Amino acid sequence: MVALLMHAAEQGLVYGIAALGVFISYRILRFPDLTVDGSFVTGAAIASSLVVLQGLDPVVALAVAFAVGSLAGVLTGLLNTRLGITDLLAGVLSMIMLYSINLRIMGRPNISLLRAETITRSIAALFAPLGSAAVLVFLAGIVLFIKLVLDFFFKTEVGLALRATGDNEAMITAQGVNTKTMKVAGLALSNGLVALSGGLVAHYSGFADVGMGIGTIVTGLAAVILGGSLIRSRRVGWMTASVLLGSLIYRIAVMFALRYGYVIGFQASDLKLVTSLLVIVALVVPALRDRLLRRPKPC
Amino acid sequence: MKRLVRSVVVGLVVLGLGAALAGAAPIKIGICKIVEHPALDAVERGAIDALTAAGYAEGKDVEYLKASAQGDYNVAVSIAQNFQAQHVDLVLAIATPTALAAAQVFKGTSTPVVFAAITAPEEYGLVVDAKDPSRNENITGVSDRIDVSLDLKLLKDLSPSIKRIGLVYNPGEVNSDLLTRLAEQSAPSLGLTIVKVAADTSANVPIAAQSLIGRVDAFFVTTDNTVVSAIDSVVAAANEAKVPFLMADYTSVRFGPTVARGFDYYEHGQIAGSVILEVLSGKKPSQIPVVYHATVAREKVYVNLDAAARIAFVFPQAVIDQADGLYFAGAMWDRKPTAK
Amino acid sequence: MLTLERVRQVFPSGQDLVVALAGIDLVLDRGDFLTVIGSNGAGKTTLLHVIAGNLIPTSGRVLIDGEDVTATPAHRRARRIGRIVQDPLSGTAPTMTIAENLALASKRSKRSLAVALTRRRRREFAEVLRPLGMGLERRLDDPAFLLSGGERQALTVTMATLARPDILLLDEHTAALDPANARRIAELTEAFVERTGLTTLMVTHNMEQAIALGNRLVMMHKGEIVLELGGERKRSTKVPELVSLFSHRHIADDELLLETAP
Repeated sequence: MVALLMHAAEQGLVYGIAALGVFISYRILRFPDLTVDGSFVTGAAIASSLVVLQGLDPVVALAVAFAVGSLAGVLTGLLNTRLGITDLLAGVLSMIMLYSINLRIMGRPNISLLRAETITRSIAALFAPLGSAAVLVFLAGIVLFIKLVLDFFFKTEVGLALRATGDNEAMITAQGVNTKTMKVAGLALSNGLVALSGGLVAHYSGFADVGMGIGTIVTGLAAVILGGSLIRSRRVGWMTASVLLGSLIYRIAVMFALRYGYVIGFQASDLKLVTSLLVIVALVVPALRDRLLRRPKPC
Repeated sequence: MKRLVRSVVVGLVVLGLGAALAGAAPIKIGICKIVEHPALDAVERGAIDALTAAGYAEGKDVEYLKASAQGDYNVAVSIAQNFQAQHVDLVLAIATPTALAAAQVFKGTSTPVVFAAITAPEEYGLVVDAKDPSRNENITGVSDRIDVSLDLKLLKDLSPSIKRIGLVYNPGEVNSDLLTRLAEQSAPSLGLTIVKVAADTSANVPIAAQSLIGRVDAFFVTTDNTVVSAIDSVVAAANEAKVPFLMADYTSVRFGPTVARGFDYYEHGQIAGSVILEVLSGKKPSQIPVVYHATVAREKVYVNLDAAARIAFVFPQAVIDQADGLYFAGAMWDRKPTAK
Repeated sequence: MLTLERVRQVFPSGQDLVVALAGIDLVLDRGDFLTVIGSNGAGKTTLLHVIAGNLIPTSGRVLIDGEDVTATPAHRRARRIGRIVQDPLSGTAPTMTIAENLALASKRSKRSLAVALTRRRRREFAEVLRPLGMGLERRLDDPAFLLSGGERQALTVTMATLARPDILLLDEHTAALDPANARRIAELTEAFVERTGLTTLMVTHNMEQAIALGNRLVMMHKGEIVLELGGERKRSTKVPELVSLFSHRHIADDELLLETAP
């Protein structure tokens, strides 16, 4: 049981970074961004091909993954702000384009990292005394660091302007902010995080596969919405914490479903259905609660 | 006398306990596959039957934990982690993504991982050296690698007029991608050209197949899950083009290709089972080289007379003589082994 | 400070063309407070959009402090223009706190990665909110959606004061509030304009207000300025006179008349 929970926590953390990315585009910018199904793989593709084919240091490979992932976000942002293509469609177009681009980056549909110097292997070696908990501790440290950096960013002038772009675009434009630039920047940051997550997942799973991004938006949203229904505060620090909490809970739920679900005939393919049901419940329960207590609904 | 009785009683108790203990701990084997698929399901059945035949009764001597990732690569990792948490004694991983996930999760442990239905275990990084297993740690298994040039030769044997071969494949599937490349490499030496067309989802297969009509003298499909799931459209396109169609999986002959050639995947599972038995009897995976199905048994060839009739194609007698069976009047007919 | 030269704004509407502004010439000196009245469809809001940069006029020029800004995008002009509109909800970011809204408003130039809400800033904001007498200085960390309409409009006005614009545009900014709040916001705005001597342009439906506030008045009808009053002439005009001026030009409007009823 402890091992299972540890694994669930590890997955909750690596996928939690992607959830933070989805949080930025969906919650902060109010931009439903489907690019992530593609940029997640881009990160995995870069982080694995650079390590396996070029022999690069895994940390460098992950950094490049983040950078290229943000380019994917820039693409979607430009499609939307410069060419006037609606947010959903722009994201879909980018995602489709990325499929071919990802195949090019990898050179083949699947790259195995089994015998490569992945970040998880380096960590396990560096923190050997921690034993099997080394990876978990390392991931927790990384994710905490990213969260704190994000929290700080959203308290800066630029970060505040980014939040306002999603909250009241007309107002912030009238206050001198170029919202087009803001959207592109926000999407770049968001997809960079998703790509970083993809790279980490590839190193963690031991392989990168061109199909491993399917459903990233769904699991990302599940984490955001689940977490958001548990922690209702609007303060940035709590919001990012809620996203990570949501990701952890989701992965633990998945672990349990896989482990014990056979009792009710549960199969892995039912996971997507269960995810959507979880999200629906998470969306409806707060609204119901508000209605019962007659609280004013926040926008 | 008392001492004798006492030692007999102790001996009996020890024997009894021993028997009880031996019977109380069945071996746990985790079986995982990436999707549910007739070929992969056959591998699983073949392996289990091989173990049962060797005396490992299901439920008594061995307990199987079966899981399918249903096409989700991320779940494959969770499944392997699950197996680890349940302390399985051995993992049978069928198909590449599940094998990679299991190899990663159990890397550095003493739990043996036996893979099956992997086209190129060395290229995929599952093993360091297929022939010399000493550095493969806890991983070994069975490969269904086919010699694609044999398939191409078979097509050539069907008719001298076959020069251009149309190939529908999913570039996103690792074994299909590899086999397509190998086909392209070996085609020129046979005087053939490959015209390949990509379909990244089963929805795009019909259009891809239709784009080959009029451009090729024959159709060819390898063990590609995406294309196979939409095989009817490819059969339709081949019929419309009135050209022969070779499928690299002989059990698929009933879906309508002119000729089908491939391994018996139930047999493949049995071969995997024999590797598992070697491990269970004490051999380490690092002592077992990868078994290539092609070295154990050859591929089977089935010709489809119904399909040939539809496109007015006549098989050369040599091909029929070598076939392992026919598909005729809606049923498979196996050639009876001739007395030697 | 603000000059409009022969500004025309034409919109296509199906097969026809709608002339929203039919050649406006207007000059505001620094410190002028201009009230604008007119019936619906007279072009008042279009005028404000053109000045703010939300619309680029079909022809004509807009100059701010001598600089031609006719085609400058709204967000760049925003550094010199403050704007308060009728909808009390649209001037504030609902999910962000009062303090964060004020922080957003106080920076109009290039934003950096500096922390936006320092402790000193918070104290400044509390000081600015105290005179409102609404207790908002105690609710700095409340998200804006918890405020009432009147409170949000007061916050919007305060945000405008922080930004220190060159020009202030008011688009019927008290019209959607209840009488008590409307009066309070109107007083706030007056006090602010008087204190800073801001060049102001206020659109209103209320003829009394139009006469009482500011030093100049224009009346618009069908995209044109049909009447201008300034200085002493404006101060001495009474509402009935204004109404008769209206009807003289056959543009009596029940709505306008109702606004002036005692």
